[in-house]
Amino acid sequence: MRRSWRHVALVWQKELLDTIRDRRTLTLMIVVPLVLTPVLVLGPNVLRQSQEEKQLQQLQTVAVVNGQEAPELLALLRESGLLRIRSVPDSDAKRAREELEEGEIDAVVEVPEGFAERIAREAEPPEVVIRFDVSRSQSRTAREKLAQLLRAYRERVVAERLKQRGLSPQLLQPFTTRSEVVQAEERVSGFLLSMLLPLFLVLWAAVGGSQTAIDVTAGEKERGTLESLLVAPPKRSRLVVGKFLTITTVTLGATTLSLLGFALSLTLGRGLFPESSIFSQFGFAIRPQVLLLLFGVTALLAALMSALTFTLYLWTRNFKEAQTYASYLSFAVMFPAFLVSFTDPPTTLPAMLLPVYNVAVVIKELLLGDIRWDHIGATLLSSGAYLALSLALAVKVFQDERVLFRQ
Amino acid sequence: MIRVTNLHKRFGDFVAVEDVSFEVRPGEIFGLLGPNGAGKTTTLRMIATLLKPTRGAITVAGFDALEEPEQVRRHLGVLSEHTGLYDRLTAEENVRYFARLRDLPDDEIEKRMAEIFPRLGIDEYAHKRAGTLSKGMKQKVALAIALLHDPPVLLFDEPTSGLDVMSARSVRAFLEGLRGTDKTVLLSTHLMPEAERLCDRIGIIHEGRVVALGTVDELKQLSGKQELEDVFVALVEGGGEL
Repeated sequence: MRRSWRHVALVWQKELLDTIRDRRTLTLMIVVPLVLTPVLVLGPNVLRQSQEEKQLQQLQTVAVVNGQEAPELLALLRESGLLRIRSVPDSDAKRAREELEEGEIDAVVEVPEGFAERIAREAEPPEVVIRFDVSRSQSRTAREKLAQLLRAYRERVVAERLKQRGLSPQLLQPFTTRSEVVQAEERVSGFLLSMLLPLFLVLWAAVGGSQTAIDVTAGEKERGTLESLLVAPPKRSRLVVGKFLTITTVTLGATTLSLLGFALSLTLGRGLFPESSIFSQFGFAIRPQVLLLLFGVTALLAALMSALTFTLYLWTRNFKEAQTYASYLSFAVMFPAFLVSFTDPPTTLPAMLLPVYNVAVVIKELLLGDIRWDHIGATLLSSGAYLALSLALAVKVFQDERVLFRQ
Repeated sequence: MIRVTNLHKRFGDFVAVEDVSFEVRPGEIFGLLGPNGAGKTTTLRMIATLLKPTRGAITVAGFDALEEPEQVRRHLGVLSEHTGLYDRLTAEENVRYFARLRDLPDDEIEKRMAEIFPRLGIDEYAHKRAGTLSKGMKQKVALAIALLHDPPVLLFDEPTSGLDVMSARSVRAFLEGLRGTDKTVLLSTHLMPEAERLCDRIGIIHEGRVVALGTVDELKQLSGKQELEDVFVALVEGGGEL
């Protein structure tokens, strides 16, 4: 190996070893993506599902005011077995409302006078009022169950009326509808991923290696190890490349682990919640060619961000100041990533030359199964050029004694 | 050897080093003595190619510091008060890393470590992470790093600063052992007894200028003072004049 590359490899190996032994970096790289992501994705669903199941199984208490006016409806509510029904006279309506407000019962159904008789006469439709407390989930569940049962009762009344007239119930349903998607499976499965993954990948590419980037720059300045390194013979450019490769390696490692954490969450989610539309809508039908392109643009972004963060954090005085800049930087990259994820972003040539933004657009297109070579070309060429400029700037800054010995 | 000629260094409007000239010959320990902020560290950093002089020339082991900085660094061993070790690497890993950066072959590194570690008493904690070591232990590891490639020129910047009595004593004893070898040693310190005990010649630096240069005896004779400390105080209080 030529001496120059041997020096680069030495710095890279040493910095990686140093990173692996740093508990903070390891936590950020392993615990966050592999533990926190599944917990954050699955946790709310586990909680919600267990709560929903519990509520569905529980019987909510409902007071039916004037229930004697609607014996058929009252019977249907009672026979459903979904609710605990208490029929109260009209004189107790006020008390029933108070009980609802106090949380003693979960809903009140108010049946108007002469309900059954008005239905039988086919007079002006009587109005049934459901009162519920929107702030309580038990009350909301009671309302949902009541709405469902009242709908069933209405359909039964309509069917009876049609029957009496010798008409088919299908009279009210002259046709049915069905929607079918025209896209390939990849595009459908990629739809939700295309909203989340550009944001996810861009953010990890920007911040995944930040701890290491700070450690090998501002951290070295603060600890006084940079001076020891600078009195070693290798050219400064070799030290820069070695450190840059370390940050890029860690960033890619962190991004890969975060993707694994994401995939793990979805796989677990599909297994745990087979009925959940959220998890079933995510798919992984990605072709190898698309996967390769995804890796390519993400790696290029990781490299670009590594070179930029190296320069930025080297310029700072200490660890704390670098961390402040790191948080600004995450906000700065979040903006284009959000824009691309949640809108139909413009893809004109000038737009596709914007760093970070172009990568997010290409990731989104690739996930939708849309390989736009003009966009990919513009992204790769411009990001490559920005990377070369950033590296040149990093070397220049690393030779600037005002930066290296800034107090 | 080290030759410094008319060295100037400015940081904006602040003149840190002004017209400093001196030579350090092989086999000699030369002391740069001055109060904090006098310009000692800036001078040493320029010799070590960490800072570029605003004006003037430096040659180290025959190499021009401005023209051939890599060659200068290759022939230098540097020890500063900040030990500059990587806390998460062991003592041995630190030494090996810097030796490899100096292109020493692995077998040579092992041989040199086997020689130097017992001399400095590093053997006992060679496999411990630097972050767990005391300042004195760290300074010995840093000394091993400075010496491992057997450089002809050594720069020591306040090497005993912040060390406990025993550690400072052993570092001084080691430096004393360098006298009479073919090493060119430049020692920066603000400690009079250290300078008096270790240095063959001394340059007293004050507000960026070398205000007196000579052996300890020559300086005492010149000033008519009995103690180096009195010579130093007289120079500092007299604004560089005796």
